[in-house]
Amino acid sequence: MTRVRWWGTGVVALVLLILCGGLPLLNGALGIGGAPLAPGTVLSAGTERDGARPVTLVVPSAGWMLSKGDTSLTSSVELFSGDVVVNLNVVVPLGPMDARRLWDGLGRIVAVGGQTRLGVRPAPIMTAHGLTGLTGRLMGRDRAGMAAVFATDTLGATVTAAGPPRAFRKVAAEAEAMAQSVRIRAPWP
Amino acid sequence: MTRRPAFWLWAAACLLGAWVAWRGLDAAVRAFPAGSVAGVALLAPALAAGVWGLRRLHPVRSHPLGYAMIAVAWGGVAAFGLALPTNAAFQAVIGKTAGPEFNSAWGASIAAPVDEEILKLLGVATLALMAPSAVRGPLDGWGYGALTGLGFQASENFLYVLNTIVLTGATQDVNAALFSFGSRVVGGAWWSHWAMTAVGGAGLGCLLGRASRTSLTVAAGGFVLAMALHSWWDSPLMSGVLLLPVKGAPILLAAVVTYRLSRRRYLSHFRRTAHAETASGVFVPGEAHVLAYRKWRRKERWAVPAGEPRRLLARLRATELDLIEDGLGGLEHDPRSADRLRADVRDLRRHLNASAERPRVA
Repeated sequence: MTRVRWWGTGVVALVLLILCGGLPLLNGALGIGGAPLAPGTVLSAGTERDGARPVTLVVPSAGWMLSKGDTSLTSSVELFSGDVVVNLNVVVPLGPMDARRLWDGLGRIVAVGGQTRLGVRPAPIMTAHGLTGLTGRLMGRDRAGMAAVFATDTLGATVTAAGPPRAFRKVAAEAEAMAQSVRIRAPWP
Repeated sequence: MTRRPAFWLWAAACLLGAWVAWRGLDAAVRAFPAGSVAGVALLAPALAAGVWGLRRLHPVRSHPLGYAMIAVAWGGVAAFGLALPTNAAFQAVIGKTAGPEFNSAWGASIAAPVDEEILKLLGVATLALMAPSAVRGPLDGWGYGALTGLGFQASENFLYVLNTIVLTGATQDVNAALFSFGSRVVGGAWWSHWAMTAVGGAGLGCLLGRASRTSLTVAAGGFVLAMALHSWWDSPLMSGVLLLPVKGAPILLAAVVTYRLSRRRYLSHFRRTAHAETASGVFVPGEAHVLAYRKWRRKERWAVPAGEPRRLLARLRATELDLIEDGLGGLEHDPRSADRLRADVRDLRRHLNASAERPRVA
């Protein structure tokens, strides 16, 4: 076979470059990929069973967009309004779980992001559907926000909303309303 | 090997992959130390056992540890690290163009096979460019493909430990590591990345051994089959836990069938070449049988006094095996190398027979 040490290596490098550079470039060219959400839209996440997902959240007002690129409906939904980002995450417990443990766990998960940290004194919260949990503040350098956790025997959910302090203050009530609208259809086998 | 540009490409890709993986996982590892330690403690022995087993699957002599580690490092560091942003970008593109509903169902089965199978298979190609004698045919391609896939699998399993901790709300880190290990290693390792890349690697090995229209078709077929198997595994079809062995069976079956075919081709060449070299007087009658089995070669060495004679005998057998495998082809194959190896065999045999401690070699 002909000597391939240079052009063979070049082909490998070129494929690496096209694959690992091209796809992020294409993704960037497609922009944020937000889909406008009408007030009252119900967003759901979690493993689908019989055409439905177990954890839902209601969009309270206009101006929110679904982040299509960062949403994986089997585990999470991401929506945003300006610079404020709201995340709904499904929690699948491996054993007994309560809201306090889930709050502590969320504190560690939030810390992974590095931008914010969770407040240490959460307050009780009850949703419109009677689901109880804990809620509190998210803080960070030039970041403000809120978080809420809900736990049932078979499933849990966390909601986080964060953004620049001024932007968050404008939509804080809407973020609270979203947390208040969370519903978990449990038990979920 | 360091004189070859592919070595530096391998090193650069491994460094870049390690950096990307470190940046992506560092904060999670720090946040979940107990789960991370448990994950490493569980996964490291599984990786070591896998490397040992896959090297031993060569019917005549194990793949050299150095080459095996080059393949594992490519899979576990370079391919894995580079796949992190690439997969994320590809799935985001699918989400933006086809919608989140479609993405959550089919995104992984479209993005992962394309990105990951290409990235892993490049490891086999890079190894062949670094060390042309390493990949001479489908059996070598299968072996190094499986080792590259195994490295990738080990790193991905560690990522899943961290993902499971997050999915369980960081409420039971060690249990999440144990659950992840149970589902992905005990229950799922049998038909995972090693098997898919072994299939693609066998095809590539065919092409690298001897370039022809047929071997190009086989290589393309192996690559497409590997991607199809990967896509099948990631698809939402047959997603129930109890059905996973049924879903994984075709992947394992494809890897086993590819291995058997590659092995048969290798052994057929082995017997043919050994017979020809015996007929031409390079090998002594009966020597081919000793060469074919690890156990006989080991037993033979015990009968030789330790020291120079034993070293000479080991070199003689290694050179004879090199001579047999030289006929398989490979990248940059030198047509004069067979004659050189024959001369080496004769020299080594003469030295061995001349040594006082070892009067005669079979």
